[in-house]
Amino acid sequence: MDLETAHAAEGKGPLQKWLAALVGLSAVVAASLATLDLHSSKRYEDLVSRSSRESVNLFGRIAGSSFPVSGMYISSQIALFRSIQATSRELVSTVEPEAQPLESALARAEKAAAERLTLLAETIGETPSLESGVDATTRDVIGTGEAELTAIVEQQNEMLDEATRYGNRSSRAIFALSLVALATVLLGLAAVMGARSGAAPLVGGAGALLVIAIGWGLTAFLE
Amino acid sequence: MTVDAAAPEEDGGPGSPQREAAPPGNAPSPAEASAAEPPARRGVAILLALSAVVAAVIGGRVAFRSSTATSLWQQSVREETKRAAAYVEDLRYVYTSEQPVAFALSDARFRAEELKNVAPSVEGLNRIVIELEQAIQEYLSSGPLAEASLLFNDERYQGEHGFDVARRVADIRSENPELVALDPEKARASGNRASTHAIRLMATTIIVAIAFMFGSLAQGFPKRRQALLTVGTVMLALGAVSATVVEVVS
Repeated sequence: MDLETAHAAEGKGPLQKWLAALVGLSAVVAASLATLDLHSSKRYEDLVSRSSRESVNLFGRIAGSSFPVSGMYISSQIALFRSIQATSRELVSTVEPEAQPLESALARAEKAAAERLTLLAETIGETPSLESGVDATTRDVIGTGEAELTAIVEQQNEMLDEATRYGNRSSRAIFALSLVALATVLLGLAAVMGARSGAAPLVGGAGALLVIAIGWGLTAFLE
Repeated sequence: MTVDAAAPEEDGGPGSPQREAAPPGNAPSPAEASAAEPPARRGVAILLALSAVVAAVIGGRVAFRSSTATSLWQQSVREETKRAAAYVEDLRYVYTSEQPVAFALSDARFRAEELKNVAPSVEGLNRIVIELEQAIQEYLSSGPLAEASLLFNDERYQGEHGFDVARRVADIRSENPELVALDPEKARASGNRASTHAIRLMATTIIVAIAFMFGSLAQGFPKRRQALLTVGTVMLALGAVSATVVEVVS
């Protein structure tokens, strides 16, 4: 279309000169807008895919870090139960003097066992060390705290905001490209009509559309 | 669209004196018309056509690289999901299936050991009761259930305070090394490279479009045609070289 139109614009009159200039300009504007659109749409895609990954990462971390913490709390409760049991035996032994030697001995044993269980329960909730052999990703996941989760959510929101900006920019570029296409159609029509009456408004309309397209394309940078 | 049809006034198009003077049946053949065409006008057509061809070739390559970038970014999302599913499942298995059993067995073992420690402090029937309780706890911590629990029973997993759950996690994770090795960031980085490549290539079409513009101007401004054609040709060459450089460097 552009090729034919450009070639038809033999420079015999001002209309043909305008036609030639506008055809050339429309090609440059179209290439610029297409580049702008590609850049914006690729940034949009990258940000959206990263945001999707952050969603997965977020829920993976929430689930992954909850198992050791839950395991530690449940184990601590068992250890605490054992400790309470030991204390209960000591209390009972003061009420029933005959049971005192047995209950006291059992209480001592259970109290010592409870202390060891508490220490063991604490190790369950610990983030594995580098020497443990656990891979870096899993160690990182287990060590995830509320601060990290909040940071991920904030980062994800920022990504989506930025993606929206690039999406809008792409939409503006596409709309401007549509205007360029329309302008090119008018120029083609004017070229077919030659110097006959009616060609001038077409060229003028195409010029106006190109100006609007350029302006619209520039507003993309305001996003 | 041919060059002849594009310029009716100069080449004897409808209404031109040349066309009107030609006797019927003696119209020039396309080959003759092409030969009679001024070289500069042929240059315009060639420049415009070449610009379109170069732009189309670059555009095709851009579409390919752009598609590659999209595909790699989607792959990074898939890998992230796969990786997360793997570590969540491994952690779930160790901490909710193996660890509670190992902890209950540790409870029994600790009680058995501590009962053994306090047994000498009592005598008679009380001692018998404590020794019986110790025997029960020992049985619990060494019976079939204990043997089935690797985390509790295997010496590899013995830690300072009982069992070492982290070491068990490491072993479970290493059972699927390909899942541990997953790195979605690599796919994303490759996608970024493909995307940058596509965008840079696309940018070179602006130079080609400028070449096209000079070709178009050369058609519209015959007096400056030669100069415009020269600039257009230089721009086209520059666009093609730029695209080649981007292709080689990226």
